Amino acid sequence: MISRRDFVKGGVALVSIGTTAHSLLKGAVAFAAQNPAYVAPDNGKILVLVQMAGGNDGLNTLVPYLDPVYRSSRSVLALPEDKVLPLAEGFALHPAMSGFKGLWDSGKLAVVRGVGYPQQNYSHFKSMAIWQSGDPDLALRDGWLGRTLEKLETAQHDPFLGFNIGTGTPAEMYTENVSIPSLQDQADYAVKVGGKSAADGEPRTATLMKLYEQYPASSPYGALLETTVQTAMSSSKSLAGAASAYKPAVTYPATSFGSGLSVLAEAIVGNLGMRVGHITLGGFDTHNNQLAEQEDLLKSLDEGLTAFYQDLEAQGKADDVLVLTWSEFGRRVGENANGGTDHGAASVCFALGKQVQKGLYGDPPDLSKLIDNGNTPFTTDFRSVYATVIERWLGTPADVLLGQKWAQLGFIAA
Amino acid sequence: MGQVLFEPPAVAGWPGGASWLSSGTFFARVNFLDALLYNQRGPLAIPAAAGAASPEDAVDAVLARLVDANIAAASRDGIVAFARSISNPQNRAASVAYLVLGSPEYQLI
Repeated sequence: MISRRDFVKGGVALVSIGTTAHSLLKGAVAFAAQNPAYVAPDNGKILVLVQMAGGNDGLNTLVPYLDPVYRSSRSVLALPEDKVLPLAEGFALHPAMSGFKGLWDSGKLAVVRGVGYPQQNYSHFKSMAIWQSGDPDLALRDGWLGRTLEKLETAQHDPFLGFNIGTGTPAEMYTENVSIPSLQDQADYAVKVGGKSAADGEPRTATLMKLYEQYPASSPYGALLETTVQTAMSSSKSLAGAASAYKPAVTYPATSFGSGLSVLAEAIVGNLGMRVGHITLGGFDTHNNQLAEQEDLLKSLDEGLTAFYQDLEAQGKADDVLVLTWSEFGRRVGENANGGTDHGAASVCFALGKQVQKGLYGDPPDLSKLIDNGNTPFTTDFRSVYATVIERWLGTPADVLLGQKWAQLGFIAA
Repeated sequence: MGQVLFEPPAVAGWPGGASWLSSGTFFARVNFLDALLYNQRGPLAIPAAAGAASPEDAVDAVLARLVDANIAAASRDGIVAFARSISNPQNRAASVAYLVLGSPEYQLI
């Protein structure tokens, strides 16, 4: 019987005894994390993906405020010309996005227009799955970021390489080869005793850990079980360490989106090896009462991400971080009878960061040439956005991850 | 524990295989045990273990019921040693249940 300790000590020599290469790699994780000489790598460029779940109305986010078709299609919902925040080319931001306007003015914001894909699917579920896999045919394996994270893995296997704020691994980050910690609250990422984080050497937790150390590596899932738990414990410590060392330079909005962003900032500032972070802001499915609802949501987005940017700037990390937003679809051009809009096609993506090349990218959809019962046809394939981020930002070839070559956009310098 | 009701991550449902074992789901599972077994009313009543004649018997009663007594001797010894350190039978029963339900053996059931 081989214990985990022997397994780690024995290293490669023991691989032949029914242990897979995969579990050996996992063994290296725990070993690296326990090794006092462990040095976090230069964590390279970091992508923070923000999912605006529900289908955000792109037309009232990046507003074509001078387009007569926009005004005639939306007698209730068209935003007043004197309230929107003009950017360029007849496009303006929603009035709630003053932080984004400031970032635009200082050259930190790019907007991609008309983002979508051929044969738009109008179901939240299906369209999300398409964006998450990076393939309208759903033929590619796992999530687009999951596949990317496999390429970004290093011998060091940083536990926070991919890091999600939420309850479970988001589909775009899923791959069975890289485990993605998901958490809502840093305090939950620790073993609790009587509801409180266990102190070092707490007897019940120490006994539980011993069970994992003694568990034979040769048992089914043996090495994986032991090393996952070792990784969990050591990464919990690094996250707690990062949390106690981290002093936010700004006040984050008191929303779950704001506090989630501050946890991501904590991981970035704490050099935990994160390359891809993920957070969701939900509720964009504005079939009713859109004026008030979308305003609240865009305000949350704007205040949260503006604070996040300012914090990273103050911490000297702004050059390393790119924020990208996406939503599964936009909304119909014409408003409905309930002060809302129904599921649509193309929408907008924001790219935000110190290294972003400011500008409006992608051709604007022509509102006088609609498809599928009044929807904006896409002008920019979402995979062009992904290819740009994967290759120009994360630094790994995109073609193989997206199944084919896509034109890259200029929001990140080549 | 990472599987929110009615919210699978993809049309294919929740991923299976080894994906249930990540650092996040590990904490979620053991912290669920902590909340269940030591709730606001105190330790959960587990008569089969709390009524056992000795710490050894309490451990064996729990092992027999949860893992078919299928556990390495050294691991059983570790749980017994911890059980001996707790004098209150109710507390002892809940702690033993926590350790067995949190054990690597139980994660594979």
